[in-house]
Amino acid sequence: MKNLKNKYFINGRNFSCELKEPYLEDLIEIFLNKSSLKESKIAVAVNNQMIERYKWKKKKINFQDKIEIVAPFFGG
Amino acid sequence: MKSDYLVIDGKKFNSRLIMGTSLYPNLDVMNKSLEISETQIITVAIRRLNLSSKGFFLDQLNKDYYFLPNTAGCFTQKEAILTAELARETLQTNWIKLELISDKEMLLPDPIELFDTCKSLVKKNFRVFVYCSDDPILCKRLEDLGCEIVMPLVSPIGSGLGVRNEHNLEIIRKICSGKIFVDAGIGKPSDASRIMEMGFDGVLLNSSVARSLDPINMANAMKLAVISGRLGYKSGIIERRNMASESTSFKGKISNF
Repeated sequence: MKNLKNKYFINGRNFSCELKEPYLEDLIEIFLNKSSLKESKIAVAVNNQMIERYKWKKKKINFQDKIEIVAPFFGG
Repeated sequence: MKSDYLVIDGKKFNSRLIMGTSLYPNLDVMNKSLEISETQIITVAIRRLNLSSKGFFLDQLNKDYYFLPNTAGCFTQKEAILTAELARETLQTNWIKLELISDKEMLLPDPIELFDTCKSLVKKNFRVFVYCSDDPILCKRLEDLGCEIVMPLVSPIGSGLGVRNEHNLEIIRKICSGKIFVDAGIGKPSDASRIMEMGFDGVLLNSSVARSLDPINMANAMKLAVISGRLGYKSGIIERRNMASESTSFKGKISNF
């Protein structure tokens, strides 16, 4: 297995990181700098499609994919 | 008066005031305003995670609330549905405040896109709280579609103009048998009170409190206005007449000079 340091596109910006295998959960963990995502009130879309949390582990990411990581925010 | 709960989706609420969480001068003022308002439901937006911010927005709330996530800023059905799905995933709620606007200047709802989007969201088992224009027929059609709460504006978002078309609101209240809130345009506590006196089920507001000089006191004023208006409505407001009707009887008057 080779290490890949590549650019991903998260929340409208390029994001570089090294991943053994480009799975969504690993990518989110690195992006958030957290080892456990259990408590994080976030949701994720890949290419404008919501990916349920239980699918993150097995969801492979391609380098062209557009990833959105969102959370509740102040709103009216 | 007997208990007068607001029941939404099988849940009972004491408060009929739904508060937004945006535009407050700071977190402390927001928390105190929410607390004094005694609101139980607050609206939140769904936005890209900002790693440079101090923490998660939800962690900064001092109390537990029911969350009503919104689709603020969405212009298309696709955007709104994805936002609703992300909201459901992150907050574990089927509730969604559907905002689907047509322009950035007036922030007016796009009724055609809105109607189709409501259809899709209802099919996907969302409880839709739909922000819409004050068109009685549109409100009725949205209600018939299965929206949980229909929420006509009284004037543009954040305008503070208050009720601009009372006649339309009266018709909406008359022809819609379900729950109707008013969302957007409230400026003064008397606006909120007036709406509740008309028999609306609740008031959703944000700017009128958050942008006031003293949001905490204004939140308190809005709470009292909503309670007062509701109590007035439930107590049976007298009919309006064009002519006077004496409150003191003429009977027994000493004489007619």
